[in-house]
Order: sequence, then C-alpha cells, then structure tokens
Amino acid sequence: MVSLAPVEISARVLFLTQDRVLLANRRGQSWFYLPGGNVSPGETVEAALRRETREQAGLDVTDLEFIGCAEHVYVENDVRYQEINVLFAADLPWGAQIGSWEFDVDLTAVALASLRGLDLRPVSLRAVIDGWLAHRRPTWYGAPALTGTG
Amino acid sequence: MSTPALMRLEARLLIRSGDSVLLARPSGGAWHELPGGPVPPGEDTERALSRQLGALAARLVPGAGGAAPAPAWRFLGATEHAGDDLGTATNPAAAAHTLSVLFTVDWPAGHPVPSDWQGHDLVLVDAGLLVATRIRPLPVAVAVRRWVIEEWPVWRGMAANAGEVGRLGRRLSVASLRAQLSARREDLRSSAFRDAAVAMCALVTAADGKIDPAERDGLRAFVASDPVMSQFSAEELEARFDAHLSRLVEDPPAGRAAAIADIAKVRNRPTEAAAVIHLGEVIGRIDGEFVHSEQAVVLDAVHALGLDAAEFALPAVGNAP
Repeated sequence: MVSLAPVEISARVLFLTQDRVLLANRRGQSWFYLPGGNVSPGETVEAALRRETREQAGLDVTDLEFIGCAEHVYVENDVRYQEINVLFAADLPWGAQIGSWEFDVDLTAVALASLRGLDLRPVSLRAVIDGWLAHRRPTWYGAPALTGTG
Repeated sequence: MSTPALMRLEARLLIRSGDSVLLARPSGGAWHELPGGPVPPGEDTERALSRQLGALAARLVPGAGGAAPAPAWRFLGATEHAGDDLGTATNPAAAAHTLSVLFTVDWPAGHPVPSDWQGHDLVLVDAGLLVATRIRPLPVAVAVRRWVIEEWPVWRGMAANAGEVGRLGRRLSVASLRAQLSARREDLRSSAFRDAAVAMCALVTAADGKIDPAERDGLRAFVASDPVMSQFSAEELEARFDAHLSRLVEDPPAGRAAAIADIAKVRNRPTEAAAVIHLGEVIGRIDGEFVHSEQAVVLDAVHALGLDAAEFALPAVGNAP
C-alpha cells in the first residue's frame, strides 16, 4: 500500500548568461538540478524562489520570466510524492560571483549546447526547458501515468 | 488560520466555442468560474481535471474513461492567489493559498454546448465582453483575458515582498517578446496595425529628442528581419517612418499627436493594441537599456489605446513632456 504525501509546489530558476545556464549538483552525485526549492506555507512562489536562490547561491533575482510548469511524480519507500515545479528564467546579474553557499553543493555554468547530454532532474523539467529555449513559449509537462503503484 | 497551510493545487479549463468562452456560474450567483477544481494527493493534475470535468470531458478528451486519456487541451498559464473566493488577499499566509494550473481547449464544432456542469450553469460569454465579466478568482480572470488577446501562456504570481526586492519585474526578454509577436503574425496584417506599429517605432526612436542616422538604419534592419513587420512593404514602412520622424523633429508636439493618432487606429482591437505596445518595448530595448524617455512614450501609447499599464510591466507613472 502506497501512502500519499501532500502535493508540493516548488519554484526553480534557469539562470542564463549568454550561452550558459547555471546548474547545481550535490557532491558525489552525477545528476544536476536547477536552483530553487519548495514553497513554504505562507510564502509566495516568487518569494520562495528569491529566498532559495539567495540561500543557495547568494544571488538576488530581479526580472523573472515564466518558462512553464512541470509535474513530477515518484514513489520512494512506499510514499507517492507529487511536485509541481513552477519554472522561471532570469538573467544572471552582471559580474555575479558564481559559487555555492551550501557546503556540499557545487554550482556550475554549463554551456547550453551541452545541456542535452547532462542528467538533469527531475526529467520532467527538460521538456519545458527545451521548449522554452527553442520557442520562448511557456509550456506544461504533466506526469506520465505511473504504473504499478495502485 | 493561525498557522499557514501548504499551498494547494487546482486545475481549470477555459473552453472556447467560436468567439465565445464557456464559463460556469453557480445558480443564482453573480461570479463565473472556469470548470475544474482541486488536485488531490495521489492524482495527476490532468487526470484530476478530467475527473472534475465529468460529462464535459467526454466531448473534450478523446477516449476519456479509457486507459490512457490524451487531453487535447493546451497550457494557458498558471496563477497564484489566496484569501476569499475572489482571491484578493495580498498575504500568502491567508486562507486557501492556491496554485491554479490553467488549460484551454476548443469545444468541438457542431456539438451542442451543455448548459450545466456540477451544479453550475454553463454560460457562453462573448470573448469581447470578458473585460466586463465577473470571473473569480481575479488572477485567473486576468490570465483568461490575456489569453484571449495574446494566446500566450502567462504567469500571475502574488507580488508579496515587493518592498524588499524594490522592483518585482516580470518583464519578458526581447527574444520572448518577439517570439510572442511572431506567433500572432497572422492576426497582425491589417493596415491599421501597420500604421500604428510604424508610428510606435518612430515615437520610440525619437523619444530622446535626437535622431541618429544609425537609428534609421537599425529600424530598416529590424523591419527586414522581423516576422511581423516583414509582412508589409518595406518601402511603405520606411516612407511612413520617415514622415513621422520628420514631423517629430520639426514640430515635436504636432509630431507626437500625429503618431498617437496613428497608434489609436488599433484602439478597441485588443490583439493588435497589445502587439503595438510589445513592439514599442522591443524597439526600446533591442539596443540595450529601455531608457525613461522611451518608456514614457510607450506609456503614452498604452493610455491612448485605453490599456492598463500594469499589464505591460511598465512603470505606472509617465512624465511625457
């Protein structure tokens, strides 16, 4: 029997600088994620994004551009998690120091051209990011139906 | 109410039928809503929406009820609200802090439109009358109105902590503005739009009171490469542009009045009016900073078109000399 975790809303940002994007990576893990995190109770989506990017990278974001939303559903230890990622793009502030403020996380500016070859998680973000980079049109990516969890 | 709760998730659908939209209204109620509702834990967003739609889904989701519904709807955007039914709270710690994921679909032609949904009356509202139609929550209403004009997915977040950040910008990048204009280029072919667009370009170019020959060359290059403007004859665009510039140099007040008069040709034509404003912003920002004098003339155009400056992420106060 799978138990259900409450639906989480999270806000994430694609920091762009010319032809590079900023990705985070926990030391010892081979995959990357976008800076940002869960919206806390009583916090707006954009405030959560600003808080997380300040905590994770010491960066203040000003103009945010909406990229889309991606739903991510997964089961871990018999708990079904469901998360809606609200995605934004932002220009990396000029002359910003790129560096992680968290001891076990690295922040890397990755060339857009090599983004496709990287393991970016959750995978559902990729379709939204690719679509926006190609057409600048915000999109939605819904979770594919889970099998074998009923 | 004492401890704020986790943000809720809901999904709603804007159904369009010809030039109208289909809105749900509780019997005897004054406010309209989009069909849809909460997404509970354990149910994917679109699956929840299908279920909420009930009988409506049968017409809209091919194979609904089967193993793998493949919704034909498109993404309209997402909004955030809190508080009462209207969603007007400015504090996200208020009750019912909600993320609404919005989709849109066309009602299949030739099928009668149902008259009720889950205890609500379903009413067809002319898209041109949406401005005067009461839709709740209000951020959803804004997203719906924007969609009908621009058909471009939007985000409407709650602007909390605005004081802290100083400026809560939601400006689109120039690349995105141009992509958005390009997507509607089929609707931007009228001579009224052409005249308004050229006048907007001229106003922004002359906004600082000086005209550099390089700026005219820049416009020529822009017109040639822009998917919207290249629909018109280049000679005609340049002739009109030059005529505006000459007037703006010789007699600035008269030149401005003439340009604004051309811009006002698309008043009451929401798609074209919004496109003219976006174009002004593109011209202003394409060479770098969108300086105050350029913002001020775009804002004049916003007022001349009867639009809401807040909708265009422009500063609310202008100081056109």
